[in-house]
Amino acid sequence: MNAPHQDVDAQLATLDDQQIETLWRQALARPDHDELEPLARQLVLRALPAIEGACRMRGERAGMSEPDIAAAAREASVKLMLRLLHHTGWRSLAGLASQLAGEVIADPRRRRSTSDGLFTPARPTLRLLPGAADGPTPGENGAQA
Amino acid sequence: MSMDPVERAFLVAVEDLSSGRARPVEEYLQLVGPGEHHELADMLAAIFASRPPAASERITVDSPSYRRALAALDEVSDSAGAAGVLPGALVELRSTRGLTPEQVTGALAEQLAVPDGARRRLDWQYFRLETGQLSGRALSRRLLDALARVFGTLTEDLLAASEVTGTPRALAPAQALARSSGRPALAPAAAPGAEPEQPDPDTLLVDRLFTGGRDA
Repeated sequence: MNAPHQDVDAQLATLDDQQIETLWRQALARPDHDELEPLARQLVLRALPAIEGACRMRGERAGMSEPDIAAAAREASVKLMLRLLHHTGWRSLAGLASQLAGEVIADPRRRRSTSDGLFTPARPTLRLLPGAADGPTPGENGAQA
Repeated sequence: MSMDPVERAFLVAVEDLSSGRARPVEEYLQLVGPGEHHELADMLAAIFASRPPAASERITVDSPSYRRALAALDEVSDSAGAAGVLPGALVELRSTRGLTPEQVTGALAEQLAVPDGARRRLDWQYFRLETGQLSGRALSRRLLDALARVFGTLTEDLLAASEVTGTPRALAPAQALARSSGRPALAPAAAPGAEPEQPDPDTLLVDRLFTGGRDA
């Protein structure tokens, strides 16, 4: 069932980025835009390094698991495709892809896999004790003046 | 969304790499302060190490990343029909977020103030939407607004997805699902089994959201 899409993907893959973007903009300007969806797909495939890179960078920083990062990249791919069905106001495809990936990772309503946090130590909560900002008193705890 | 200098420099590198204009790592390190060199260098090492062979700057077609993305896009493209590619997009977004259809309709019920008595109707109409049995142009903007909030996207994205042309499948009449007993593969575990009879005002309210047009 997927072969027809992937045949078209393979044909479009022979064109360079500039040609694809031009065809995509032309398709979007036409009222019927029959060719829009395969061209949007092709642009998403070309933006995958940006999506993967941004999801990995932000996901690892946020302490996400590998499956969660993969799910976020998948979600960002779909969201980029939907955005490319109507939105023309971008200058850099990689920039748009990175932005969407960042939004997916940062979305607090996204679920994480249930194993998260079960076996990882809780992040310590540090607070300043009254008077600690002044440093130890000379001689206290063996400190020498 | 604000970005710190390390993120900004990293994204510059990602863009350069994507467009085949990658520069030496040292040039990216110059974009951040000395105290951030180590963090940026680690991040750049990860992405440069995972870059495809020099002949291509793109992810190779047999990589896990490419296959995952392709599967997601296929789910969307395969659903093209009377509701555009929206059905597949909703299924895929729901799946990547680990949500059940009932969780989605629960959130919709809350946002759209659907009374408890109409929940079954809401479940049924959402099932029809995900399985491509509704017309995209008949979906109300209020419904698309609520779906956009559930999935963290823009209403305009969902509007565009519901209108993109494809080869529409024939719309199934509503009664067909109610009588259907031979489509278990399509029905989720908790899918509503049959169209409720004698619609009351609450169920009509739900129907307007799904079939009443943009302004309903």
